[in-house]
Amino acid sequence: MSKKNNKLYKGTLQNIVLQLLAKEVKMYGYQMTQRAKELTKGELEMTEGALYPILHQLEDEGIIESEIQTVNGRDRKYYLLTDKGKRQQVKKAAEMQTFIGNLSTIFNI
Amino acid sequence: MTESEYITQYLSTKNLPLDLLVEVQDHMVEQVAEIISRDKISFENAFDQVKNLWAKDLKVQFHWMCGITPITSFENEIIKKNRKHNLCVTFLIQSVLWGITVVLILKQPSFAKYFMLSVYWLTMAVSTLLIIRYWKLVKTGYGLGSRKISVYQLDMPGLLIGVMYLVWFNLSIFDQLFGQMKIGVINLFVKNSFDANSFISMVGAYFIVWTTLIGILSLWHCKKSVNQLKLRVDLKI
Repeated sequence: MSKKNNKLYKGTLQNIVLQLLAKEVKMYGYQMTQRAKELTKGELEMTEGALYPILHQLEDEGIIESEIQTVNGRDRKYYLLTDKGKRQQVKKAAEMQTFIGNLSTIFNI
Repeated sequence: MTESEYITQYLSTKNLPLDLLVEVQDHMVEQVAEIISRDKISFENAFDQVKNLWAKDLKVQFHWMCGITPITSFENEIIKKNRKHNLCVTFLIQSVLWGITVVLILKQPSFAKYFMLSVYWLTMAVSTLLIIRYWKLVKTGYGLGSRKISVYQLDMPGLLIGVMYLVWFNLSIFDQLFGQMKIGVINLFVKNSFDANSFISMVGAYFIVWTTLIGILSLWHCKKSVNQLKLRVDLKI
């Protein structure tokens, strides 16, 4: 993440990953960083050092799972939500909406 | 040397375990390809840019909770998150077992000893079977193998150490351990008096079970990671 936005996005990266996987179904690590950057027009640049620990943590907790696919002769590790992950994503998305709503209220005083 | 092999050679200097090395290599290959395509520059220049992007995360240094071998910040972060998860899950399990033992000591003292003995024996039996079944994998956690295979192997030594202590406890000092725990429970919950030695004995009775459970969980994570690695790399494990 660029330094200016680092602290603002830090606590929400896990929810961002869940949201991306909910929409795209299956993604590999580099694809996630690029998609987040594309959607936010370059504002959110996830560092690999931030992303992969989160992916490992989510996999340990059974929220996502990984599978290897061969693409153009190369193996690639894709991540996707488990059933538990899909339920978690819905819950976290609702929490984020509430959070964003509250922030909007405060910053529109 | 192909570009992919060039990247692998660079990453091999970072002391990464194999499962992380493969993951980082995948990511770097995609990054380099994108930069080459976007900026129309050579592989070397693109790879230099990628190395700069990863510089902070791949800096090799000593992390005091991860042993005496320096590792990257990247690996350290993953170990920290995995360890936190394992500690929480195993602490919950051992707390339930400990709680049941405490309640039995207070309500059904005759069953309490057999319950605790059953837990010790069951943990020892399961751990021993796992060690025998997955010995080739377990020994990588002790540096007895020649390769660092998985980021999850760091906490596997708890399994073998736990089993050795459980064998010793079960065969030699179980009665003494249970007696100390019983005294601690009665002092605290019945007599409402706090004695440091009794309290430590009470709390510590399941400590070695907890350590062994951490080793079991680490082995499980390591096995999963190695199974995935075997799809991509010729591993003789």
